[in-house]
Amino acid sequence: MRDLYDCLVSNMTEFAEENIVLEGFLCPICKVDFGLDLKLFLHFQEAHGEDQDLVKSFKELFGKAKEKILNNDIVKKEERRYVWEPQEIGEVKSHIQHFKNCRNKWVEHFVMETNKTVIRLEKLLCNLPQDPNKRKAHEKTIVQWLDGTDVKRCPDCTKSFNITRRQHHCRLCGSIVCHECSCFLPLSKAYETINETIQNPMDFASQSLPSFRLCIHCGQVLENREQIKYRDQKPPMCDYYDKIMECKNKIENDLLIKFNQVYNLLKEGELSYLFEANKIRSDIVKLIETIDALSNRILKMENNSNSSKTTSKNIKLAMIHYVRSTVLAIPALPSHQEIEEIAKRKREALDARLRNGQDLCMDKNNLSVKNKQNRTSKNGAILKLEDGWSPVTNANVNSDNPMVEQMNIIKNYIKQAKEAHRFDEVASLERNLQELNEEYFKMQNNSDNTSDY
Amino acid sequence: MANRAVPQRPNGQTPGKICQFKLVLLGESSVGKSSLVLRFVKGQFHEYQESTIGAAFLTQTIHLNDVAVKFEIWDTAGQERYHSLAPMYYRGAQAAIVVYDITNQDTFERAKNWVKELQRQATPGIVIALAGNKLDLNNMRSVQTDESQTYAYENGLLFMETSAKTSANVTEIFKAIAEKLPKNETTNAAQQGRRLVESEAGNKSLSSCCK
Repeated sequence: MRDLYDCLVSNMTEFAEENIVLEGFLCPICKVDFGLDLKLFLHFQEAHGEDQDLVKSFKELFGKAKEKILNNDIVKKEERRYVWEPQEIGEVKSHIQHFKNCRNKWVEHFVMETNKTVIRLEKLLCNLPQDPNKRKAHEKTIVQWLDGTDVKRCPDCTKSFNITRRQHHCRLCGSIVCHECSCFLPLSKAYETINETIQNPMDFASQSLPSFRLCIHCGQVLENREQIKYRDQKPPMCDYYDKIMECKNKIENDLLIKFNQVYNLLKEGELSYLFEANKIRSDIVKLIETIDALSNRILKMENNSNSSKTTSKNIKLAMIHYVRSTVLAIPALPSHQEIEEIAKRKREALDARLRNGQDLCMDKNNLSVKNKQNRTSKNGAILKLEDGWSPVTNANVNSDNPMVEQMNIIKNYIKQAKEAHRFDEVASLERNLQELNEEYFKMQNNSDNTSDY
Repeated sequence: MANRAVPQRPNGQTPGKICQFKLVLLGESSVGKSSLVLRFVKGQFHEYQESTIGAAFLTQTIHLNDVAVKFEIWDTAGQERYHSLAPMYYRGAQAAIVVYDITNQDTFERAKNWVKELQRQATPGIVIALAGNKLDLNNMRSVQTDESQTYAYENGLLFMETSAKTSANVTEIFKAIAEKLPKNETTNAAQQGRRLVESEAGNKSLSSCCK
């Protein structure tokens, strides 16, 4: 109502503003003519009292505040566009210890629960009577069953019990659950859980109820325990796979390398390695057969899950591929005759090279003779031999003293050098002859002196 | 002098650098010294090489790039009887090849003794090469390559296994020696005569000794 009035008043003011001159009992705020002074007074009291002013001023304040907040929001939005400068990392605290504490508490709790459950199960299985009624009594003495009279609903699914939804007791904790919230633990599995083999399977087969009813919580605890047991256990195919890898390593890092070495020697014509090569080859083949057998065993293993089935299939495929590639990579050994032929060819080549070597030297001599004739030819080769010179030693130079012998030889050499116009050599030889003479003279002197004394 | 020079110039070309070196072969008898040098000088090989009397003299020139290296080779007799001659030949030598037979361990021990003797009494700075000859008899080897290689390395020797029969490494070992020999202070034999070679060799060795 007030809003309507305000609206009307505001309309009137607009109107008043349009007609500039207004007369009468006008309200100074809303400029409405009230006709009578009393009416105006009342109106003013009513509409523009102090409270009203306060409300108005509050409204104005709120409006301003609103505006400011809105503006601030806009400013903040603008600020968000700026990229923040990298900040220094403040205080850092590790919560790992806290996490570990919490975790340990939980682990302890679960371990405790599990152990308790298992201990109860052990007790339950100990001296378990075969008769169903006796068995029930036995079960009740081990675990106290909850009194069912006050339990109206299943504590798990909160569905009320009635004739169709009966109460059931968990044999391990004694709590009451409905059929849907319970599970059964077969006796065989129960024995397995407490690491005991079934002493007389026939006894259990004859029983009418070869299983325990458990609440899903106790069932879950036992199941978790089983899973943890299997988590640390390697699947049996791992052992076979390790064996396969061992064989593979031996082939790759030992036998194949040896085989290649021996094979290369055979190709060089070394006949004596044929036996060794055959032995290595048969060793490799044996190992390959082992790998094949092991991969077959993996494939034939009973696999529960699909993933292990595919794994074993993949292992088999990989091994087939590996065996194929390895067998193909092993070259056939050359036969006895082939090796002999290679050796023979090699010998011939060596002989030919020997002969060629001599021929080459002859050629060189011829070449240098040609070079002598062709005076302009340059000496461009990095290494070139000229035709060397050597005098012939006469046999009849024998003497008792090797020094004298040598002097005779040198004299003979000098003669030959002179004949060959090798004057450089003549000079060298003459110098040597002189040295020999001096040496001989010294020696003679020494021997003379020693004989004198 | 000029007359002397003419026939000595290699192939009659303009005389470039000619280096002349005295080289001596040492080693036990019948290890193949003469065969080695005959292969190098004449390119020949005699299956039944007669044993050397005294010391044989041979010359051979090899051309290394622009430098002609002339070896005056003294092939000494290995027999004990002639050992008194050996010092005369290694005394002024700039290079020596000590030869042993790879099929005979004793010759290797004798070669070691020769190396010792050279290091003690020959010209300081002499280039010594160790040659394991008869490489063609590799299957009868009794001196392992590693052993002699290590020995050569420890004593600063050039080392090669050679075969005068197959001519394996023969030229190479002489070439290696020629490369190792200093060629900067060599003389043009045609102009300065022969004697300078030796005297300069003496100078060279002195300087290397003082350093």
